[in-house]
Amino acid sequence: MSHFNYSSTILRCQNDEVIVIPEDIRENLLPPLYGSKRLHVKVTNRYNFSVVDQGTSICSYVMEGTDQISKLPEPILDHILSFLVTKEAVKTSTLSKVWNSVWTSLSCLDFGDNYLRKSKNIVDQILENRPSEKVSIKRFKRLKLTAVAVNDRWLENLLANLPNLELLSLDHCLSLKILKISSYQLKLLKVVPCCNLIAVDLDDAPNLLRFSSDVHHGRKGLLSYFDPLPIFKLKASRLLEVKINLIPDTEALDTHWAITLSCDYDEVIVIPKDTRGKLIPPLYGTKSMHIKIMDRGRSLQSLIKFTYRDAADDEDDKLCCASLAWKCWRHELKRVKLQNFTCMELEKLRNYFSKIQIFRA
Amino acid sequence: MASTTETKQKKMLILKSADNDEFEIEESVGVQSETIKNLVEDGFTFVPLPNVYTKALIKIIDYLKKHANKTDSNDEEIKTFDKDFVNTTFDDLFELVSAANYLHISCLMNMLCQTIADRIKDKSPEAVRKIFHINCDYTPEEEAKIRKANAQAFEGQFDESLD
Repeated sequence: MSHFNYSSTILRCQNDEVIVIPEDIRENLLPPLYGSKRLHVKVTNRYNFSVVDQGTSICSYVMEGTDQISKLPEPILDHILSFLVTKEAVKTSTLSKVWNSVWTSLSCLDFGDNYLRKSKNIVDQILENRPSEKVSIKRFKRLKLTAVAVNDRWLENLLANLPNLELLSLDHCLSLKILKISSYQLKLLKVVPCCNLIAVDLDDAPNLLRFSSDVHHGRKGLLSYFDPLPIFKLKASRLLEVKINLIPDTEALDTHWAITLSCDYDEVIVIPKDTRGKLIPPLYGTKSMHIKIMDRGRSLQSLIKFTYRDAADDEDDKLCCASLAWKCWRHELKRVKLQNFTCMELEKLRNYFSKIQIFRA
Repeated sequence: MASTTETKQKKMLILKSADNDEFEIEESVGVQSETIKNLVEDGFTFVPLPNVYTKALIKIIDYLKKHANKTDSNDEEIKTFDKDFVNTTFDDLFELVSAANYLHISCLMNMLCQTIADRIKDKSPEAVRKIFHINCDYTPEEEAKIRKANAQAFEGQFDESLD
């Protein structure tokens, strides 16, 4: 490579030497060097040179043709590989010993790939092939499973071995029926259509900050859309943000999405401690709920924002829940902000929230 | 009222690069870096950055300034800026990624790592080696063993081109 040869030439030239550039190689020169009469070559670190043109411009010139990427610290290489799905990442183990070492201690495995569709056994195999599996698996912070035939028990066992897991993403894991999460560290949970899901139990995830889920519903028949809607059980942190995409059947006239909002808890005013865990997330202590309604090609991002009453605001002692340490959501609710709803939807929501009498649009 | 005008005045920081160049930036711009933020919280206004060279620092300050003024309206503008930002040589990318890592600027870190990862994606190991000039230090037997252990990853077609 002409670049490389020329770089060697630069290495040989010392401070303040005049370089005569033969006409026949001029074309091969890199721009910062072409046409300059004098060069100062200052070595600033192992592989980086500052080239000072005689003029005013200062250019930095890095020797090309050498392996710079492998010299990056391992945490950075780990970060780079975290953007690749497992199939791509495992491939880098054959590049060189440095890369193999990065792969075997990779802190993030993204199984989001069709080739894993066959069976969870391949996931097992990859995990087994990691030499220090027992040590390194504990380091995992992110896990994404796409179309992997995992069952409830396998996932539960796996999660029990991942104490540092912060992000879990499940996509089209069709064999999953009950998702039970017990994780102290988990911050983000994403569940996109896992059609056979009956329940999501987040009873023991105190640090969960974001939960998002796609819910297909409305159709009974060939495609196994949710029927009934899955039950979300949750002992939420106050900071939890819930994002649920309701994707109704395009054929259905009534989109049913309001069901989740009005739900069956219309009459529940005082929420006894033991049933709190059974509430649908948007109505229990959540900060905001984003709803994306997809309707015949029209995609609408709507936002309902809940603002809760501070303890200091609470002067009204006639509240039904006054005697309890924990206030029911209606009375905690101070403001509901609605965005991007159509008139009809807005009207329905207004009616719903006006029952609480503290609604301000 | 002197105190009010003082508080209104923008707090400034001085960043010093590894090659001893100094840059003055607004505190609100600098604190997007966790490393700088921690120092600012400890009361520092002069921040030496012994691991960040001037060339990378200039680019990173540009990035921080642009992202500090993020609003709903200039979303497109920032996207274009980001696209141009990563459209550079590998060596620049590696300098920047080391600097971003040291400075703990996670959004920049993610963007740079994603850019580098995109060049590995879909390529055969041989192509990746050529693209990044990686020297294989395995014996042929060792390499064959590793390939065999992860055989299912090598099924199918790879992109052998170097672009």
